[in-house]
Amino acid sequence: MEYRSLGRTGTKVSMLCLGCLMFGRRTEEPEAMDMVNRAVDAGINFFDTANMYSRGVSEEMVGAALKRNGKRSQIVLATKVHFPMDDEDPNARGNSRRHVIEQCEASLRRLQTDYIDLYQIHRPCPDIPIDETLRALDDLIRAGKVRYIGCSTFAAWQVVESLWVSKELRLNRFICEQPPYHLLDRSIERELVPMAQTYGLAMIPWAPLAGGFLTGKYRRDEPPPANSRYRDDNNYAQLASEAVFNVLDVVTAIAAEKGCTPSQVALAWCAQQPGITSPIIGPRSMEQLEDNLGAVSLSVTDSDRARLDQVAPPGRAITYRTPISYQYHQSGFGPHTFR
Amino acid sequence: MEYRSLGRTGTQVSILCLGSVTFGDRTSESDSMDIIDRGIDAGINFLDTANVYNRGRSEEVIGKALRRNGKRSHIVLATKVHSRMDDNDPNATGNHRRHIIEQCEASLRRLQTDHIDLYQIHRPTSDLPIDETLGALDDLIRTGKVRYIGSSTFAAWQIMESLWISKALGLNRFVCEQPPYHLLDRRIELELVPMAQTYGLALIPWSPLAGGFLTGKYHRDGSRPASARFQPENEDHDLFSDAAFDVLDVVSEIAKEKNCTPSQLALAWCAQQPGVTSPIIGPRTMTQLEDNLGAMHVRVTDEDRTKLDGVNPPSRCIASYYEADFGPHTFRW
Repeated sequence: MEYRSLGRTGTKVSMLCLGCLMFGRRTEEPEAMDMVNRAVDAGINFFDTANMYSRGVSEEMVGAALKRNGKRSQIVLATKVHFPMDDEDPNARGNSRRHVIEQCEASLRRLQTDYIDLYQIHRPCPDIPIDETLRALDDLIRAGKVRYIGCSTFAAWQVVESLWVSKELRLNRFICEQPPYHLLDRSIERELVPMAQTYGLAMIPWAPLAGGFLTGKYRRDEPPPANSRYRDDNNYAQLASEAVFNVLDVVTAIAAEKGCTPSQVALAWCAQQPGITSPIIGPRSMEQLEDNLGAVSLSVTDSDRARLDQVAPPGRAITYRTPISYQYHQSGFGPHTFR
Repeated sequence: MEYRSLGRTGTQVSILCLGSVTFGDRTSESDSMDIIDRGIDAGINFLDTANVYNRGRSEEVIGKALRRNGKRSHIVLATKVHSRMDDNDPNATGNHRRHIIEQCEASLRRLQTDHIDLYQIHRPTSDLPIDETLGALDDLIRTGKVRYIGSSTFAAWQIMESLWISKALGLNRFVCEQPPYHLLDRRIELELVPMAQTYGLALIPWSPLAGGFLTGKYHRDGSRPASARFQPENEDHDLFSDAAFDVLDVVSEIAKEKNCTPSQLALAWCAQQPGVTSPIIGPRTMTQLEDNLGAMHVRVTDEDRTKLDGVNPPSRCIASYYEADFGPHTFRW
């Protein structure tokens, strides 16, 4: 396994990060625990979850797995805060000091650990100024509950603003951003990637397989296969456009030449793009995990990249509503109320 | 004519800014001067040029026109620096103090004025830190040669960084950004527009008609007027794609309903988008100017916007205009 520095911190993380969104949602506990062990055996030392993944269940499963295998101290453990944890309570969400500290302590309990390695703000909030959030995060670092702080799906300018505020107020700064990034949405290449390279931020892309679209399991003129995420999704027809399948055709052709799967090509492409630290995989099953692990040894050539650029041009998103880019556009990029 | 504040400055500018890239070149000096006079008569008080436009000729024509009509004091006069002014001199380009101050003085002479209202950095460069550039621009403001400073085709994060530096070093800040923006390239909506709204920067889009494509003078079958800028030998692949013509079809259809021209609809759309101060028109002829002026009276409805979103959604790009040196940067301050 290749290890890379988490931005400017010097902490080494594996070039694939195991995302735990499916744990407790579509993956049962025994399989989730086996997947955690298998990933650790394969050299993955970087795990990402969030408080809102099945409202705490994902964190609980990760905590139980690390307790059982005793590997907590070797793992760079990342979780997040922002999304609602209680539909009735207006304060059980957002990036306020009150909620961030309350949820950090809840995450520590669920994860059965006394510190979080990377604590991330899951989405930007245009309705509060970033100094509110950064002060709370800084206090968590100083209290020893958190080692590093990061953000997820922030605009590049929002990250720069946060660096400015951290410097001005002498607070710990974000060291990592988690953006959506895959062959169907390359929007981040325009602003976020050069900014992150300039300031030494790690980038750990979510949805590198575009919610499964780049696995090749969805096909032109065929309904989504049984047990797939979009089986009963009314938006499928809109998501599965001709442009998406044109990209998939090239991915599949390159995979056939290399004797690997389309998802391995898509993952290896993502991991080898400039500025990328570790794509976050989100396997639902052991079989998917094994497939994803195969991407580690795959080399994407300049000629492969050139072919992919033809169908998925740099810096662009190719369809309006790929599952992911839609959400990127919908993230709270402002304008902001307060400075 | 409607006037809007140039960002947080309070200085009022017309909702159309007269660009001058063809002046002194494809538009003769006398036609250029007539176009300027007509623009001012119609209420335009915002003129944009650049040192590099025909290597000083555009600035000279504007200087002459404002001298002839005596309207300089009523005009918000904008120009730019960055692009190469001498092929043989490695220092005759870029965003460094030496070149900026030298070119500011050259622009003042060509424009026959003692101050520039808005002095813009034409493009970002990643090879020198922004404090170098801001330091020079601040000195120009303090010596009275420049009133306001702005950027053109910067990434939102680069502007954010420049605001940080201005504040940290106590320097004047950018008040305006000039991005490419039209119905075929809406990428500024993702980051730049909300950033500019948050920090009170004016946005004055260049190329609101996508280099003339949105006038409807180009056709799917390849036919076009002989005078058009793009001919088969220099046409841009993206710009002449099916997707681009699909946008043009919707623009033409809405224009027909409103009894206006496609270019008027495209301009009105741009001027009425959130965060936009004044689109920059670039008429080559008096006829084109008259057409563009008509856009002021066109009202774009939510329903029109929805139709246009259907063919090129918010923040997406069909024809790529928005390319510049967005980094990564070599040096920090």
